[in-house]
Amino acid sequence: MRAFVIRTAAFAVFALVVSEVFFRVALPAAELPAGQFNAEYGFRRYDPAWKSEGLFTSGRHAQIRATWKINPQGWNSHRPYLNEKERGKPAVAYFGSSFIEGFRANISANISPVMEKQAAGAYDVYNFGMSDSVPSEHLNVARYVRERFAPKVMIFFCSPWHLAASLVPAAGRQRWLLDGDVVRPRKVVPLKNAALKAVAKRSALVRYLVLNARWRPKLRPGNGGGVVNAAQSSGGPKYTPAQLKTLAEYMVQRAVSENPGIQVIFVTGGPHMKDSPPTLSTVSQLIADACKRHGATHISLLPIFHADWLQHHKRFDFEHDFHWNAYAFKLVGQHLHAVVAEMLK
Amino acid sequence: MLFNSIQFPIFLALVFVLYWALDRRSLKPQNILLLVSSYIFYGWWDWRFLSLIAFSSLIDYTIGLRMGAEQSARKRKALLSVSLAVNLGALGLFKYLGFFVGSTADFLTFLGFQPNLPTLHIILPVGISFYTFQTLSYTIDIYRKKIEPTRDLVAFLAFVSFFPQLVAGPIERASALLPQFHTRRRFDAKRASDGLRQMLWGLTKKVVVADNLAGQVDVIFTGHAELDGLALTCGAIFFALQIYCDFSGYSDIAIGTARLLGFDLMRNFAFPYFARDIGEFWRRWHISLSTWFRDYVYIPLGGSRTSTAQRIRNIIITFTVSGFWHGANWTFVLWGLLNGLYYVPLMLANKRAPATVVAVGRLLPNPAEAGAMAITFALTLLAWVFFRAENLTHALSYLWQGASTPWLPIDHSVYTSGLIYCGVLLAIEWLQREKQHALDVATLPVPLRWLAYVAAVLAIILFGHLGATEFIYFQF
Repeated sequence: MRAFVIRTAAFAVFALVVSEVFFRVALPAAELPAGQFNAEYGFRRYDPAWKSEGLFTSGRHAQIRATWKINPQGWNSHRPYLNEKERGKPAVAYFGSSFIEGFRANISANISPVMEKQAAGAYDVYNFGMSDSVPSEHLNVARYVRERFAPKVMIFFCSPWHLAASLVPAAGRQRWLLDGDVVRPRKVVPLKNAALKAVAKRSALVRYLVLNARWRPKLRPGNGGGVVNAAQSSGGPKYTPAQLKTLAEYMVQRAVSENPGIQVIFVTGGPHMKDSPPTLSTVSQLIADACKRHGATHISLLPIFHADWLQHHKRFDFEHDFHWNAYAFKLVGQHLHAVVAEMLK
Repeated sequence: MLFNSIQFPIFLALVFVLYWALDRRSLKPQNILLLVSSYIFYGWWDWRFLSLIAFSSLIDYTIGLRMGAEQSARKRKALLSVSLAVNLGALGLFKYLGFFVGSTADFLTFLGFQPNLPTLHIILPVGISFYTFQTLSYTIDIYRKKIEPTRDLVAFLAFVSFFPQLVAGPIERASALLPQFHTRRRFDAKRASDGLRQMLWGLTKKVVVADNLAGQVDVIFTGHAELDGLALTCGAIFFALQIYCDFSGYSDIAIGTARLLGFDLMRNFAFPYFARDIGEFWRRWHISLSTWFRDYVYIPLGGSRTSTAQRIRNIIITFTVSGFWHGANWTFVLWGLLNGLYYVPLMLANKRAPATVVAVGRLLPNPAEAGAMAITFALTLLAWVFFRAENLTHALSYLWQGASTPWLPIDHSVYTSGLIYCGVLLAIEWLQREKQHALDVATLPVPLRWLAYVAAVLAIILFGHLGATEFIYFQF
């Protein structure tokens, strides 16, 4: 028995070592920075001290490989963020989820470098995208950004399911509570970074299983699932158009009223890779209506993506991953520059 | 609990440690542990159906004791009838009642009536067909005086619910498995190591081959009307390999798990797709079920010791019933019937299937062997179409579309990955066909052995479906 146990354990160690080497050298597992909770403002960003550069890969065979870089302020960006005095020119800040955070494109191919290239030094662009973050958090980040960096323009990327996901409680995340037709922020439960989790993040095998293979082991049937996905999937909470209208109204009203003197833009809609014309989703329409009421600008990306699709028939995402690719970032960056440049004139 | 879920290795590790920790004491604590763990294993899926297993087990335990003490043939027969009625009654209620009600309604509609029969929504308890046959073998063998009834209730309950093979076999005979619950098990490192190897191979087959082919099979069978013969042939081949890897993968994990606990289960698959005729195929496919039907249906019908016509009748009845065992659908009945019909030429020619493995000691088969294997495989493919189809119309439409539209200008490259999975699996199994299972590499030097294991582990991680998909045979 003892020999069997020792042999089995020895093989397990051997297999782990081989797997670690394999997923570091032959097929690199995704690397991600560590999240850090900012208790003062109530949002998550990345910890630059943990790891400031890395290679993100996506897919079982690491089909997507892109570099990322966490700047000293804790965001995926090619540049450090400077306050108004240091930079001496206007700044544009944008907020969103993993779609615009940009781990699936090289750090030099994200929306912010594309816009800055277009601007030719006329303004800086700061990316405040963060995986799994939703509008309820974006407003907290916006407060921090306004106080620290005083941008002239704020761009909020909002996909339909992210609005509803703002109501799904999650540790370490600012969420809202919808009580009748009143929305108010929930108390944020700070996320505890478990030591075991930190060690697991160092393992290439664990990272491969969780990030590349998307393995979500469930100890009990019915457990698990990300918060964003919970709202996105058919099994997630359902909200009436009236409730969604309340949410959209609350979001836009707060974004505008809390950021006086700043041009506020809400961007909705994603890639439309069909020849047939796109239609605005209910949530996008609600956001567009709220923008009109509160003096914010609404941009739907649907016609932009659709026009490009008709012309080039080039994908804006990946076959196995519906996050945006560098081509989408370029297209969006160019379009946003056109809008922002006009605003900053 | 699924073998390919995260719960199972944790559960097995706990059971393994506790089980062998109880080794020095009497047999009873080990059997109690097996019983409790088996009920937890089953109850993890749906605890409500535990009562059904317990009820079925208690009935057969009691009947077994009564039958053993009874001398009167008439009373023994009556007791056997009760066992058959209870077990087959439960099976009929949960598995076949809806089918019979539906078929009756269809028939009455066909005759011009407008039946208003109730629609039944009965949940099929997982593994009911398997444990029912296992417990039936106990009472039938006592009736035949092949075995003595056990007085050890715990051992009997553990025998019926033994978790490694509870939900999808191998269907063990009481004469083979029950005595193992009465004998002290000793830990055998070699046997346990081989058990782990077999489990690893079974898991590889399931999550890498079967689960990857499943998606392609679903697409092809669902959209068959838009596809050509080449694509539909790929669909049939993929399903043949899917069901083989799914089911034999389960059996391998079951046998391996049992070996870790010091039990020997019967071999359930022996590289069936290398069979040279349908007789050999059925000696290599789902062996525990084939032999069950041979012993409890075919032989009581008269078996082979009758005229050719009666033998043909017996084999067709046996296979048709076997098809029906798989599921309450005419597709399974026809699948069984078709396999029975495949036997007819062999019986008319009085041909006995070869007893040895094909091309022993040679790397490649000779042309005659290759041809025989190809024909047998093609016959099974045809039958698998019925097995996989939703209904008879679907099966016939699939076959008609394949035969009438051999080629369409569609993208066939989407089937490349499926063909690679099939090709690699068959190549590995061909090289190992004289062994008990494809990862039976105990004779290789340690570095090569470990490389083989690591390759299997990496294949699971890189290509496997890690979402714990159910095994196909759970529905039977």
